[in-house]
Amino acid sequence: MQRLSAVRWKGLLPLYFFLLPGVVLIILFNYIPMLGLQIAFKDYNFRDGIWGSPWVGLQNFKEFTASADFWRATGNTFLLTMLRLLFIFPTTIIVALLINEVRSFRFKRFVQSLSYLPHFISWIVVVGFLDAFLSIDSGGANSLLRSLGFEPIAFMGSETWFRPIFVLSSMWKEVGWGTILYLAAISGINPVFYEAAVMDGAGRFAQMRYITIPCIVPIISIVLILTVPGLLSVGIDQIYAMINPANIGVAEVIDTYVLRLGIGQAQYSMTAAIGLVMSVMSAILLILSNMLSKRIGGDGIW
Amino acid sequence: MGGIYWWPRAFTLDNFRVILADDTIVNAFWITVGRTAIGTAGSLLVTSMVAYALSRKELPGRQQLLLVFLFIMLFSGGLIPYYIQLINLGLINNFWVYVVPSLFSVWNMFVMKTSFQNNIPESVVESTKIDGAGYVRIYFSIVLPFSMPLLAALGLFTAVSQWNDWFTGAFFVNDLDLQPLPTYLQRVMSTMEAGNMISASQMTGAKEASMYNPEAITSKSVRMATIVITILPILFVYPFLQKYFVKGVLIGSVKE
Repeated sequence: MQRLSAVRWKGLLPLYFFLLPGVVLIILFNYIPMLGLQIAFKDYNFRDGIWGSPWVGLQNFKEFTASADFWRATGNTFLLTMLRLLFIFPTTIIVALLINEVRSFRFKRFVQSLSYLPHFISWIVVVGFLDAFLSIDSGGANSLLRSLGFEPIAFMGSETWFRPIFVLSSMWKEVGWGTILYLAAISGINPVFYEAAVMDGAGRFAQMRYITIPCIVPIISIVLILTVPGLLSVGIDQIYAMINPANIGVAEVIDTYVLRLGIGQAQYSMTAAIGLVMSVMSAILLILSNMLSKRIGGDGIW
Repeated sequence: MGGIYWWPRAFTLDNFRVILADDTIVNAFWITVGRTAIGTAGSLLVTSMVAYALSRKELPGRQQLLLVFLFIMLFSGGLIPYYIQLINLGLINNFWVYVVPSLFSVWNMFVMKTSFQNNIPESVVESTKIDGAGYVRIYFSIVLPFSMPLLAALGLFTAVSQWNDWFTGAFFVNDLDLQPLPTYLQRVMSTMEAGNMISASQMTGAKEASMYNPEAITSKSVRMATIVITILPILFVYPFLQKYFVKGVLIGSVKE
């Protein structure tokens, strides 16, 4: 018996060898940082390290909850994620329905390729385009305003314009890509439904109204539920590229706040405390939304 | 006429000549190419190895490990402890910070594992076993070749995110010689941003000085040229590989 299990163990060794690099990386870059989270309850300094620094209890948490900047960043985070949800989510569905109505196969392919492309362009580059187009002295938008006799507007350095630019640029970049799921769901609809509808005299619009939309409702609800965990994070790339001293009041979100204080000003303990709260909250949101999506769509992400 | 045009009046490659004469950009380009190549190949290898091991049901401890991996999709230590860990590992200001931490992707691992279980016929694996092949042999001669379309799709996503990543370069690397293109671009833009702010605050409705400042115009054009270099590879490969991208996202999200 003993010998047999030894043989079996030996046979499985190659499999454990396959696991090794991944497990080492996970320990180094995921689990040790989790242990490092204890600095949220400490007054971290480099000399004493993570384990040697003195405990300070909840002081770091008190400190950030007392900071007006933190609440501003939290408010901005929620507002921006909500704006994105409000504008981009419905637009994506509408665009998917529109693409689906295109009859020429080639043109459909062309539209799809073109609309997916921005997803692969870095936010830094996108904001570079925006900057060039909206810049006050040489941008196309302002030269149009000037030629119409209006005062030029400093779009990129303005609190008023930050949110519209944020929403419109997110839309340009992600709506096309977001349609993939819906289009896949639409292409999976049984054509028999459409044939039956045509027999009953349904036009294109009635088909969309009574067949296509009801058939993609499950996907819509799952996508909606899966956006819930994202409500705490706007995505650092876009904001970081767009933020500047003139619009920081509306543009600063939790992620950029953590960067600015944590790495920028070496306030490790306080920002680790913020990170801890955010991690716990988004884990809770993820679990909740998975439960919801299982209940509604019958299928969760795990 | 105000000196502003919707369309350039003359095309010139001068901006590219300026760029190619600048060692920093050329260097940034090669850093980006290098990290993308090494990062993508390495990530596919490491991730598929783990996925393969975990796709074998006879592996003791498999369920426990899957839970350990699943847990980090839910919860992370956050940026600051991660940053301190990078300092401790000596990865700050080091080329390998681009590659090593992203070698193993939990998300890709789960996608691969599912695919290895569902799409590789167990009968083929069994018959190879009977022919005397061990796990290593099965991995290289069956699992990898059978999974090429999936690996291509996931590899493309990894490559794009490696190519576009500016964050690592901006926060974990100070050495200008180690910066990838997007970080370089981001630095140029934020310096120009400062310049823009000044010219915006100086706006009095009259023509501002910076419009006629040849230096400002040149740097703007140089920046646009950097943008072109940054997105050119993506624009170039995209038409040929688009179907793999779409396949990739559908593999990950739609269950059969």
